[in-house]
Amino acid sequence: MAERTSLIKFINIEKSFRNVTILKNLSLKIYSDEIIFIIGPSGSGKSTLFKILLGFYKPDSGFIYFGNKNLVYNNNLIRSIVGFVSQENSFYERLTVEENIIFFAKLYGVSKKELEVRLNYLLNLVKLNKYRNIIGEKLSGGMKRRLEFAISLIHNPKILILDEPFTGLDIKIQDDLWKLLYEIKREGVTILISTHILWIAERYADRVVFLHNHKIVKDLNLKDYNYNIDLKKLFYEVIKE
Amino acid sequence: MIIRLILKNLRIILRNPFTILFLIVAPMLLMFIVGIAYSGSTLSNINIGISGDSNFLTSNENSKINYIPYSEIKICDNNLRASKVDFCVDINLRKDQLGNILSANVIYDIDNSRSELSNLLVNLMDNIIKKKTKTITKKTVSNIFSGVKETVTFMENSLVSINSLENNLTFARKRLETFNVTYNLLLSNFKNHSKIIKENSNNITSKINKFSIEYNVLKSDLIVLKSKQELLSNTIEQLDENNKVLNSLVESYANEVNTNISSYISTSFLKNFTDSISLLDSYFKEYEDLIGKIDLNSLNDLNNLSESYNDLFDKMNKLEVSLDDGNKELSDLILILKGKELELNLLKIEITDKLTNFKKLSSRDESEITEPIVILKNNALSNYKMVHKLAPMIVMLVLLFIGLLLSSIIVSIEVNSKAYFRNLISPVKQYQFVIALFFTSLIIVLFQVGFLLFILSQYFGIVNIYFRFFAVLFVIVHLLTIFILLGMLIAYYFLSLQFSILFTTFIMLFLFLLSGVVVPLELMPVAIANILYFNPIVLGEKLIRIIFNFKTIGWFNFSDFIIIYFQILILILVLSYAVIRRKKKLF
Repeated sequence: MAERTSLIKFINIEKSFRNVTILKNLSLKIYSDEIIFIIGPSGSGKSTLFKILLGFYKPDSGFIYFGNKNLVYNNNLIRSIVGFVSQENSFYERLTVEENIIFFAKLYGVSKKELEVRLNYLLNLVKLNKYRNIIGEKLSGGMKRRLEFAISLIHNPKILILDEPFTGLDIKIQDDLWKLLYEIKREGVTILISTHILWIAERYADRVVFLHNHKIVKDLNLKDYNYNIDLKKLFYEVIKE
Repeated sequence: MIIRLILKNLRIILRNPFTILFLIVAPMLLMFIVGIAYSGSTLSNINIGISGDSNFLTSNENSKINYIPYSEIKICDNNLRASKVDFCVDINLRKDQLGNILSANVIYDIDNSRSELSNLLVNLMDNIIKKKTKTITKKTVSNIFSGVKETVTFMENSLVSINSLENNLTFARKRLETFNVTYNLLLSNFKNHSKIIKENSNNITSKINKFSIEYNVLKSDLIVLKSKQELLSNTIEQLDENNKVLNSLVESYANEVNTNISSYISTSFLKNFTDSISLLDSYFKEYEDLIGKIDLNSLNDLNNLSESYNDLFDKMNKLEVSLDDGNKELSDLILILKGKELELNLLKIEITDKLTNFKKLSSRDESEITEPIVILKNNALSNYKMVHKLAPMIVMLVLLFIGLLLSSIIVSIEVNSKAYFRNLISPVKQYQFVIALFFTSLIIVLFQVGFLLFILSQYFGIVNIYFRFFAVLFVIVHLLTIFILLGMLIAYYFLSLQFSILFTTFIMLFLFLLSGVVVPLELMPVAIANILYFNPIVLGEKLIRIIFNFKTIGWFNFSDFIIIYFQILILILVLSYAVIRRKKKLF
């Protein structure tokens, strides 16, 4: 079987703060159209890895390739290919759904013509078309999260990073969001998720990467396990090692 | 339970370093600085413009006052309106010939839009003037007393001179009296002699008349005698001729003839000769008669008269000697009197001088001595109301409160919002967000300030903002820039909205209390005041006051704007640091 072409490739990434190592010799390949869960105990370096990918931090050493382009010193490229959904909603609650989407589209330099198409597409995708003129604060919890997704996707990113996106959400909303994520995945977007909720990973992940002691200790393709794996047990095995 | 709750609250509060900072350190710091700032009691850093006789005040040593000389009060007045000087004084002095100040007319030009400071400056100037008044009065009175003393000394000396003069005059009088006695004696002698001379003169006249008559007689006799003498001479000539004839006859008729001749002589010649002799005798007789006719008494009288004259001449000579002596003495006395006259003239000149000096003292001098300095106070603003004074400060406080607080809140809300995070992961540069926040705040604050100015203009009639719209806008935008940047800095620095607002309030209070609103900066200690001149409220209040009150283009104070731009630059640099810090903290 021919080897898959990676979308983003981390090579020997190292990062430390004030002589405290956060990431140590980390190498990771992210492929298109997959949902990857990054799992690890607190302080294992998950957030740092995401922040490097978002361009907030520069690695002390190593490379991040998007195709044959090094992303390390190319924030504009990073931000054009990466979308981010945070744990909390990061839109303006006093702006309407449409205003929020348009505002962030402008930040990403989406053209007016493209914006029109993109706006309608995303509103349909997140099922907020009827609520486009409702201000953010008046939306329900699920709608707010969906708006968050719409905003994250406004610039048509190649990869979507989700940092603990399901914390505090009820099951209904979580299910709705997973439906949405699958839709997004179908659009060709790679999804990178950090979570502590292991059963979600068991249920939705294509791939699970364990981070421990500042390095990747496991990189599991769940397909290899027929999507049937006890991640909790594995997690404890990993942290014991 | 309540105690437990209180203890819990206190524990939480005391474990938060920012709370301790704001609750304990900040008020203490504020009170400390305000306490020092308000502890001043003397004016400092005062610029007083002086026109006219500027030395009058500048000679007054007061290192805290800068005296700036102006050629005209009008120029100073323009600078007063531009707040480049705090006070204008025009001084016109009246001096005596020696350069002593007699009186002064002083004009104060007061910026009554800064009434507290102006009142303090008026008091300060009044005190200086009061001292000057004392000095002038003292000097004038001293001059008068000195004049009086000089006059008294002069009078005393004059008295000595007058006594001496009196002695000299007494001496001269006595001498003249003595001379008078002598003179009277001489005069009586002279009169006697004059009488004698007169009598002699009468005698002489009668004698002369007599002599004249006799002389005339004699003269006529002499004419007769002369004719006789001619006749005699002719006779003698004839005789001589005859004698010659005779002699020739003698020679020719020697002997013979002698007898003839003798006969002849005895006959004709002798006859003639005898006739001549007799005639001559008769003539002499006549002459003797004539001589005899002259009265011998008259000769005696003449001799007596001559003697009397000689005697008189002797007396006259003596009298002349006496008169010469008297004349000499009189000349001496005249010389003495002339000297005394000179002394008297000098005395007179000096008395005239003294009188002139004292005549100069008039009823005007009385007022000049008691109040030698007349002060006229001109207010820079006519028809000045309290609202004129308050308007610039109100606008400044609005700019401060709205600019600082609003920008702090706007920025704090923005940078503390979840959405702000999303801004940071967009390709837009960070500074663009900062600039956008700045202008957002500026627009909102400008709207509010514009509304306030509209109210002030429409309902209080203080400022015609439309007339000076661009000037007002120019200044306000600059000041707002400072306050907004400061508010943004606070908002970016503090990670929570509450602390941002708290710190902003503290800063506002700090800037307000140290802005000269409560206590003029000029009354604060110099070191503090020098720092507080950089307070944007101080700068802003000054600029706005000038524009509002004086409607002058002098509002453009370059040095103030240099400070403003410097502050803006510093704030931009610190804000840049705070923005970067914030971003790092966020992640």
